[in-house]
Amino acid sequence: MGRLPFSQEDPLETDTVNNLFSPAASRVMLLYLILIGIFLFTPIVFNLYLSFSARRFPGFPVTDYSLKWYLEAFHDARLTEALIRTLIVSSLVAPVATLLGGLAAYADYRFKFFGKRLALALGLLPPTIPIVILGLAFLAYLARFNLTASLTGVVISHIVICIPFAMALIRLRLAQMDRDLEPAAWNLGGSQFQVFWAIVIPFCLPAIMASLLLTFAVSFDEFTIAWFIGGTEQTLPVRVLNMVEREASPMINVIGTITFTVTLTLVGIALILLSLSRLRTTRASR
Amino acid sequence: MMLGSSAREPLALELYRVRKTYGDSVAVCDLSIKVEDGCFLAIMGPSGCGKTTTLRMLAGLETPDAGEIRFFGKRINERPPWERSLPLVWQNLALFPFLTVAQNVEFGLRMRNECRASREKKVLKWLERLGIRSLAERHVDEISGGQKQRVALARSLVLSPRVLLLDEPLSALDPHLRIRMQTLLTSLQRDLGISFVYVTHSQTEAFAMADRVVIMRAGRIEQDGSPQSVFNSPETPFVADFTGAFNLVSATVQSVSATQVLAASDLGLLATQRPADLTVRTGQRVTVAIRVHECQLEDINGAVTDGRNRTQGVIVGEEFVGSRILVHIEVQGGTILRVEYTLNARTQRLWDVGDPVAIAWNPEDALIVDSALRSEPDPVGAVLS
Repeated sequence: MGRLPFSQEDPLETDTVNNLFSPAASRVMLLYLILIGIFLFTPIVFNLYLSFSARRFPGFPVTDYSLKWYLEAFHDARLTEALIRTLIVSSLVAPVATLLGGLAAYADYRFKFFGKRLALALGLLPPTIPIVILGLAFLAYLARFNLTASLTGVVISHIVICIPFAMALIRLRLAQMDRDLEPAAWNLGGSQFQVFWAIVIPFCLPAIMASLLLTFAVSFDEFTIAWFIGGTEQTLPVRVLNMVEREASPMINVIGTITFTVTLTLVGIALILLSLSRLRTTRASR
Repeated sequence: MMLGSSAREPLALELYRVRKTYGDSVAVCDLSIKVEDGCFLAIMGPSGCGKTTTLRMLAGLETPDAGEIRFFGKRINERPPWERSLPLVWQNLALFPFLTVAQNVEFGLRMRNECRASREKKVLKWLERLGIRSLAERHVDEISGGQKQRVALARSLVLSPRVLLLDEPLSALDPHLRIRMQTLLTSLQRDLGISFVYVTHSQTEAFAMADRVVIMRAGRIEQDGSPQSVFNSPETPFVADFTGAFNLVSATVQSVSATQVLAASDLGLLATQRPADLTVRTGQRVTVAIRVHECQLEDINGAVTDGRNRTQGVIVGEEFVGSRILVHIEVQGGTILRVEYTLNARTQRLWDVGDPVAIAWNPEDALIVDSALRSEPDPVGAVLS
């Protein structure tokens, strides 16, 4: 029972999309994409490149390579404390946002209820609100509970902005689930709760993992709200801004490189998980 | 009356005056079906006739608006699907894509919290019985359509159900594989002695396997009986048409004798048999059903046999069904009659498309198929009228 090559297994994914455009048009578009990529990533690549310079004010080209500023960054207590704070926040935000977003996605998939569309729209709203306004709103709201200038406040606000990401990812996966899968499991004697654990969770596992990674990355990078709410409890992005404002230390290149690598890795793994799971589903439905 | 009969003999399943509506549309209306223990029942009809809704109500995936569903005498209307023990083989199979063949089969046992040893024993037994033992560790996305079918069957049968529900399970298979699965299903049903409720739109499948068929149309039962009785004596024009074995002609009753009814139609005066329970009056509009297989083609100038019905028309088309030809003939009034005859090497083609031809049949091969005219009280029919 040999598997067919990928392109034949999944014609929708590869063939139709490619065939929409003539070869010339495809080439132009590829060039366009490459240009955008260069535009987006050049600063980051420079960041990475300059982080290995030993000089106080790194210039181009780098003449003396060193890991000096990396060592310095790891020995800066304010930086490492900020990093730890950020890690604490992100590792709390990721599971809670994934849980809440996932349950919301499941409610949307499984149940019909009054005001469902409205609830869904509200749930997906936060990313469309300007982040400064959102930050101010959180500040005003959390002040009532004395949660400003605290990590708890940052965690709560980050959960709110991360839920839409989790919800979107898990909804996408649920949309691939055969509508009859759960009823079939009930029919074989599994209660709703049993079936949720035995069927829905395993089926959505790739999306759940992707959501954990992505929400972690979102929270890890988030600056504005952390700056509004965190007060003296500075997270890494906030600390970086302070450094830029006051001392313009070359350690910023180091932090930028590390942050970018962490985020890119998390998002990359998330994407791989999602595309693998898509492959498996399309095969199973044949 | 219904309760009395169900108390005497144990019925595996019983639907009693069940009704189901979706908004304004009535999916199932006053439906009563009895499924005896150990019976292979086929529910068939065109799509949208309510057969799948009926099956989903039995499985507990839909709740009837009215009426009662009984499982071995107990009302189960309110019982959730997971407390019913009525496994269903799904039309799209609905296998769990992230599990192996063995894990799929084991699923129901795991949900019932059976111990590991007993689970393994049962899974192995069913994998072996259905000939898919060697696939146990494969993922279900790595096996063929026919093999998936067997996994779906094993997954349900491993729970030792007393009734198995099947929703058009063979519709996705190619004809050759379908016949093999039909044989497998009939022998399984016979060996296990359990009831099968099999929903299909295919009359060949239903007639090949079932002890009893229920033909549905627009949420109601048209006829309920053995495949032979449905095939030989359809009670409504719809059933006669659905079996594909009859030519239908509208007519008006002219005279009624003890054994025959004479009816006037566009084709002339037609003599049909009159079963003892048929009460018709002169002047009534009826539908005459004439057996396709018993009609003969004759030369239009040939001698007319006494007592035979005969009409003429023009051949407008032919269908080849293996060694036989199904000839379509347009007769007076635009009606198309079908006549089937066997072709063999020695038989010459006597007629071609466009030729005029005579069609003849005996009165006993024609019958009147209007259920309202039957004097025998039909419980479902009585409820409907």
